[in-house]
Amino acid sequence: MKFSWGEDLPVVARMTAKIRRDDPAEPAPDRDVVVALVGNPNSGKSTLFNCLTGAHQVVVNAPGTTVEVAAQAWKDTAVQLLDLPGAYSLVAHSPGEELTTHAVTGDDAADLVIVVVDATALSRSLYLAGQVGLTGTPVVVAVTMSDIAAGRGVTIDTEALAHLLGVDVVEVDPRTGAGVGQLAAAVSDALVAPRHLHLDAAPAADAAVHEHPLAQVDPRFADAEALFAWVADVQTQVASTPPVRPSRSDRVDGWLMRPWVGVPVFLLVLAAVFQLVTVVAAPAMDAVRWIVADWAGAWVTRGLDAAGAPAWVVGFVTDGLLVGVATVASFVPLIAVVFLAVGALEDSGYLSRASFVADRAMRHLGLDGRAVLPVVVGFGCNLSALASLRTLPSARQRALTALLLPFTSCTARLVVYLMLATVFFPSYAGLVVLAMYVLSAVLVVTVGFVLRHTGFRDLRHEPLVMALPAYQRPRLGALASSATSRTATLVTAAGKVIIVTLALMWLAMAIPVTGGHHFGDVPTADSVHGRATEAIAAVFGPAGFADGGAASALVTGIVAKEVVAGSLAQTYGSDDEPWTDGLRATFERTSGGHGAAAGLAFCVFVLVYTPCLATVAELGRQVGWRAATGSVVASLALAWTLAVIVFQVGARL
Amino acid sequence: MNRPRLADVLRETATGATPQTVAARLGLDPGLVEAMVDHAQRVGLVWTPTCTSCTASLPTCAGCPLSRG
Repeated sequence: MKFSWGEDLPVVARMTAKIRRDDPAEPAPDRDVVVALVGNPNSGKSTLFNCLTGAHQVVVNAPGTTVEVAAQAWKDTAVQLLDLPGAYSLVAHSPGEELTTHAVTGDDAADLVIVVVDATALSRSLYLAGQVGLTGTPVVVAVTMSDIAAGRGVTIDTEALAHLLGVDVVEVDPRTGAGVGQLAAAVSDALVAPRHLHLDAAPAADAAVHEHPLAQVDPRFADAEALFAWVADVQTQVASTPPVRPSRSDRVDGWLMRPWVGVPVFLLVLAAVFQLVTVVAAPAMDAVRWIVADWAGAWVTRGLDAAGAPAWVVGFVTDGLLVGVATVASFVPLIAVVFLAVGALEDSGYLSRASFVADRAMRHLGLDGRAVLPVVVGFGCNLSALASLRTLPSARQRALTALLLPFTSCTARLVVYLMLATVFFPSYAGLVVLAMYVLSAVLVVTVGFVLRHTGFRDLRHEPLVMALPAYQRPRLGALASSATSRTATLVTAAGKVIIVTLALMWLAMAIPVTGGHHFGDVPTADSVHGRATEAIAAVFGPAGFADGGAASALVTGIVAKEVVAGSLAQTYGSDDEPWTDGLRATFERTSGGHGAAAGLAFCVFVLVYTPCLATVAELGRQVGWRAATGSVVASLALAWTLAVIVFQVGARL
Repeated sequence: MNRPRLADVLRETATGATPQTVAARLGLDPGLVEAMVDHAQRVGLVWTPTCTSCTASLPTCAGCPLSRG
């Protein structure tokens, strides 16, 4: 039979209690006994269970899904055998491990535990065995995978192991049934005369370990030290292990972990990614936009005209809705290429190295190393980064990191950079995008440094270590699947906001305020939109883009940054020329002939100014509305100042 | 095999070394080093740059380089 992980009560407690309640008065020994199989994942535990019970079940133990434990009578006996989820430790880290831990340590713990020791992973198995032994539960050890270990040059002396552990140790091969009879005999003996793991030989931790800063953080530090010393001691005496050499991954890291090598290499990798994106995605984006806005637009216009639709309806559909749809559709190749490239970096383990470098920077700022996680997440989406702040233990750390996150350049802003960079810097658009990311990182570090030495002087440095995975070859199938689902999710979510916002913008541009024009047939300057953005546009004069269209795009960008590009396309597109030409011509005019400098200043403003409304709302919830308002005002002022500096310097070069 | 000290393992891990390198440097079994780093992670002394709380199926997580898609 199978049991599923209950809502709030571990199933093993119910199960073992039920078995005992079946005959509470005079429980027969052969009906009352519960034996549990405990071992690392993939140690051969379930195969052993099938062999011992005659079952043919497959146990699925997927993280985050239902955890299952199988229970069946041991062949030809009434002993109930439990196949518990694989566990690496009794310091549980997943529902499956919680279940296993409870089965060993709970009030209704199993009567005896068979610890399945994987000969190919002896250390990890012994560590788990030691933890089981510390609970005081009687133990029998079953050693599996001996043939595979032997193939790797590792042999285990089971007699010596039994002597050291003080319990029966049986070598089994569940696939062939070898050793199963001896295991049954050992279990039978242990049920009559329970034997416990000998941990007395575990060397005590050095006195100095209690003084270590990490020991101050966690009192179990010294206990763990003693347990690992015991594992090493046992392993040395019972197993022959081949010498250890640094892997290729480590030799690569030997170079990449050096700041003066790792940082330039990381920048080169990013530059290559962005260049790839602009070279591959930009033509595809133009093609998609032409198909949706121009080709399909012409068909829709002809159809509506033929149906006798009023001019404003034709304008709303083609210049309002279709421009929005074209903007959303043009994001698809861009986002897909970005996700493929970033996914390959993450899957290979390289992105973790970048996080490691950032982790060091965070520590120099006096931030908790864990702050790097929300910051990295912020480069995807500021909102989810704010949500991930719960990983930080201190409220002050959370507040400081929350104030830095709006300066991380999210994916929505990347779309704006790429579009503007291909318009104003077609030959080296990738480098311009990279410069935006470098500026973003510089702002995070600079603002963090300033805040740390002004309003956040009281933060304490907490000892914490970041561990890196080994490099691996990216899995192409998984990458393609991930990029497809991410692109679909992001484009669907952003698409709704973009289309609705651009439709509303069209309405604002269609309603006349002056000049006696008709609805839907009005020059932008005489529309509600034109009058509203006129005053705002003047503010951007020193930055070189004092134009209502640019100002309008920035205002709509407060709703969501993805809208900025669509808003520019809607404002500067016309029947005579594509929006890119219109934008370039406008910026040339407003900047006095320095359109590229104005375009760069516009990108800088987009990077630094107010994040989207959803992020501001979450920021207010996390740090309070006073601090959030201060953050928004400060980011607007900083964005304007930097945009002006970039334009004024750029125009003079 | 040398006597394993958690502090030594964590010190080497903090330099960016993987368990294999830490094992080679300290004369320990790589599996033991993995178990030590894993234990330290479980009690909150070590973290890895992966996000375990989100999913790429959420719009706010889809663009995140650390979400699981």
